[in-house]
Amino acid sequence: MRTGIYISGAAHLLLIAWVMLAGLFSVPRPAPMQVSDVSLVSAEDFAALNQPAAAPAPVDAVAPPESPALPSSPRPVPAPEDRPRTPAPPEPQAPARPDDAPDASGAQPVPGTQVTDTVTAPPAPEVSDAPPAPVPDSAPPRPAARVAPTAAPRPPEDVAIADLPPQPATRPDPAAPAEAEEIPAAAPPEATTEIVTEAEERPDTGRALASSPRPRARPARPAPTDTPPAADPAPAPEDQIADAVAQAVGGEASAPGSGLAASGPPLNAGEREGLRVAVSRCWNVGSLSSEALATTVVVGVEMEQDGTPRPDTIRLLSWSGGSEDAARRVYDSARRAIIRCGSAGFPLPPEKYARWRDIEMTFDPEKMRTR
Amino acid sequence: MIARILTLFLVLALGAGLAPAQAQDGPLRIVIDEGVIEPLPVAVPDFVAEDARAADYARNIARVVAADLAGTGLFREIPEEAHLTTVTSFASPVQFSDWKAINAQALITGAVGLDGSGRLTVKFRLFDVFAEAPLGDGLQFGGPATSWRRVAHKVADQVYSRITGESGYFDSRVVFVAERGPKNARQKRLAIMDYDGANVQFLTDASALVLAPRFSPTGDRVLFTSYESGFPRIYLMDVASTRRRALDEQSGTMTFAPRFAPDGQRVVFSLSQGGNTDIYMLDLRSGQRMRLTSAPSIETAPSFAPDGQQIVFESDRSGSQQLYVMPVTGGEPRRISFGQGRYGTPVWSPRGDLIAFTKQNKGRFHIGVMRTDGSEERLLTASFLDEGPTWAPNGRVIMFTRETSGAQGAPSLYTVDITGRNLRQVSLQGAASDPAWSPLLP
Amino acid sequence: MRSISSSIVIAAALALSACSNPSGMGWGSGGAGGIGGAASSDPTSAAYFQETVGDRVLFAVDESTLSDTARATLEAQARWLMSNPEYEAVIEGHADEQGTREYNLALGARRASAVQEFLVARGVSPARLKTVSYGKERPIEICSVEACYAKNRRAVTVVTAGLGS
Repeated sequence: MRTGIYISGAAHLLLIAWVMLAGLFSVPRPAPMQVSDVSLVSAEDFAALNQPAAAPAPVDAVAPPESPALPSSPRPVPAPEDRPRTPAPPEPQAPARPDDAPDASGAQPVPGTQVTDTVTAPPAPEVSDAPPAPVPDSAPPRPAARVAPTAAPRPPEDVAIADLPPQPATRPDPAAPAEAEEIPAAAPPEATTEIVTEAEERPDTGRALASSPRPRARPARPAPTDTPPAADPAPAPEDQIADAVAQAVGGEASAPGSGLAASGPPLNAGEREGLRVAVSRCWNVGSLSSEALATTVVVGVEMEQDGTPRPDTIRLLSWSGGSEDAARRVYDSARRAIIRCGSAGFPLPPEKYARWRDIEMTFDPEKMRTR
Repeated sequence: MIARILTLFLVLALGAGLAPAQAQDGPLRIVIDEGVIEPLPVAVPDFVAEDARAADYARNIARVVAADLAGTGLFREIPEEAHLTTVTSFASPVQFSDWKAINAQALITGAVGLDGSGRLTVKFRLFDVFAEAPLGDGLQFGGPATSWRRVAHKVADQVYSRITGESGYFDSRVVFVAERGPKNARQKRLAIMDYDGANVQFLTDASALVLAPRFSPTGDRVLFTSYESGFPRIYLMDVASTRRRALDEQSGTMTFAPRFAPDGQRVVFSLSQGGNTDIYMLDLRSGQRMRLTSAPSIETAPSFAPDGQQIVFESDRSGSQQLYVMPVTGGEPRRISFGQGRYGTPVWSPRGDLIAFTKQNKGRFHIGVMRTDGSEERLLTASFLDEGPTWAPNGRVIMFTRETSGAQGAPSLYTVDITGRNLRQVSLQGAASDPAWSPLLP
Repeated sequence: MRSISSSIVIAAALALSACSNPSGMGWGSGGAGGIGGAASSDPTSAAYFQETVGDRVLFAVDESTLSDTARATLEAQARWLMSNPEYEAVIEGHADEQGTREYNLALGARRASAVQEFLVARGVSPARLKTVSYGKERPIEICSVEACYAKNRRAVTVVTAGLGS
């Protein structure tokens, strides 16, 4: 009898503590997003839920990565040349404005003199401030035909625009086989994806497996379960199930028994907050259009064990609120934030690497719109 | 099995109740809803001169591109002195690490060629430095060397558009009133300039007072008010030839405050007769005039919505200057301004979503914007006298007249972002007022 | 029109703001100079009208109604115009700088019209009277305080011996 009360009480305390902690630090998600469908749990996966998640399968057994079939992602593959959007260059056009001021060419700046001055107007003596002392009443009758003192402004010449041939190499390391990244089967060569800055020399061995791309999770609704922050040696059975369910919902269960559930406790609220703050610090929305500022994007990224993001894995998973173009701009800004602030490693607990190897960040600029 | 599925649903429901925000499993999910608002650091090294004669252009085009971008307040140029490397070949791979080291987040490279006939060829590329990826494709522009500034503006427009997600506004012009002389004997002339104050040219002489020019939707014609007949009348001028004609010459009337309809074929304006001012519309082809308002109050400063269906204007029919919207056919106007103070000079944004206006309240003038139903009013400026907003072609920036007070008071042109940030004076010699922004040039 | 102004003193016409063409900047720039002082003794001169009869009336902020003072001035103007039928007049409406350009043009038109209506009601032929508004474009006082504004909110009757009659 008493034992039951104690157990119940302890369980409730744990629950309350967890709810409080989680509630303190987590930010409620804003409006529902246009997230793609949540994966259904297959029978196989469901069976996997009930396996003890004690046997992590070899990572390279994971199916080859598939870029999410989202048309939205500007970078379905990391190769930069493959950006889907090709801005149509303005067509060279016939002059749309009348061009009947033959003498106006003199009005154009003379390269030698004007080129040194990028901002100020060409000196216009007529606008000088010298008081002209006009005697209003003595203004003579106006001549029959008035002639503007300066030549007619020349209609701006048309500017012909042409596409450039694709650049042969834009990568810093021409030797890097950028194409090889198209299907990074298991272990993409590190050199192709990352510039080793002076800030950090990374070991490039023993990481191939760890950094191999994983099957993309569908952008899914956040799985509505979690485990208590304190690693309870005897977790309630519900938690195990919840874990497994969340895993399944998150799409990770396609590799049965991949072992995430057993790879340590989840990040606690403080650790998540640390990451959130670190990314926020670098997320500059100052150059986004107002439409872009009304567009929320979900960005996926895979992480190295040292807490640095793998730039080639950053991808746009979904967006809501604005046009595709606006979403791209927000995505670009998010990508910059992840790469810049992640270059020295995000503050993530190494022992929970399996928990943050894949991250989905929702960038919601709404709050910044009116700032 | 069924039981298990039921359990699953139960757990899901339970979990949803307990942890609606986030889950730990699968990918780690976090929400970033805070960021910083800072200008984006951009490096614009001198373009590569592909010909010795192009050296000046290569440098100055890069300078204009950088000035365009920095002038928006959305970008910050990393000065050349800080660069660790120079770009000597347009085709060579970019050394991203050199640009990362100085925190350049965007990099613009370019090359300029000049052929024997004086024709410039300008190529550029835009890179996201930290992603080590180009943003969009390289583009090439060609044009006469004399229009090198336009080429630079075109490049900057492309860069702006690719980073911000909205079209640029640099390759555009502004028609305005150049002023000189003391306040009680001011001379006014129509003038035109590049959006950044370069290439000022006059369209009229100083013999007659001129007011408030407005561009046609194609930017090749200008409406304005002139006193050359002795009375204010609206005129239509062809910008290239500066030829002009009076549009409405009824004796005993005054016409002013003209503006084009989006079709460029009709003009709305104010006509005063017997002390009463109303709004009329004139069909430029047929010369037919139609009266849109007929109230004993003042109705003036009409401006078309970009869809051509509605007109916003100001009226003091309520007892003070307020803003109203009416159908283009002249139906019942609907008041949209209800805040404190007086509202005037409404201008519909080219995007159609906002109306800019001048507001007078407690002895101060403001430029503001509101939604087209009058909601979400936001004041962007405040001074002794701000008035006459005009929209940049992309609807993101507003230019207006700011006049200083006192005997030495004089007007000058300013721009402000519709966020209210980045208030800047347009660099011009001499006093200027009544700006009107052209559409983007072709 | 200008060539037939033989009946007036030409020097005074030059010195005073009496140009028949409003765009010639006849916006009533204060009192007459030394030459005009002599001319203003001629009760049929424009200078006399301007100085002695009083060529302007002032308005309250954002108003176009005529004060008692203004009415008295306009009564005198009407009498003078009735007894000097060779003159015609352009009534200029002005506003102070506290207002937007377009609105002030319309407000100036109201003020000029108020004066015109008064003069017509007193018997001056409408054919002799024209109105024009300068809005805030032609202040006579240039400071930015009420003392100046009060003088700028005005309607000025500019007479010209323009009628050939």
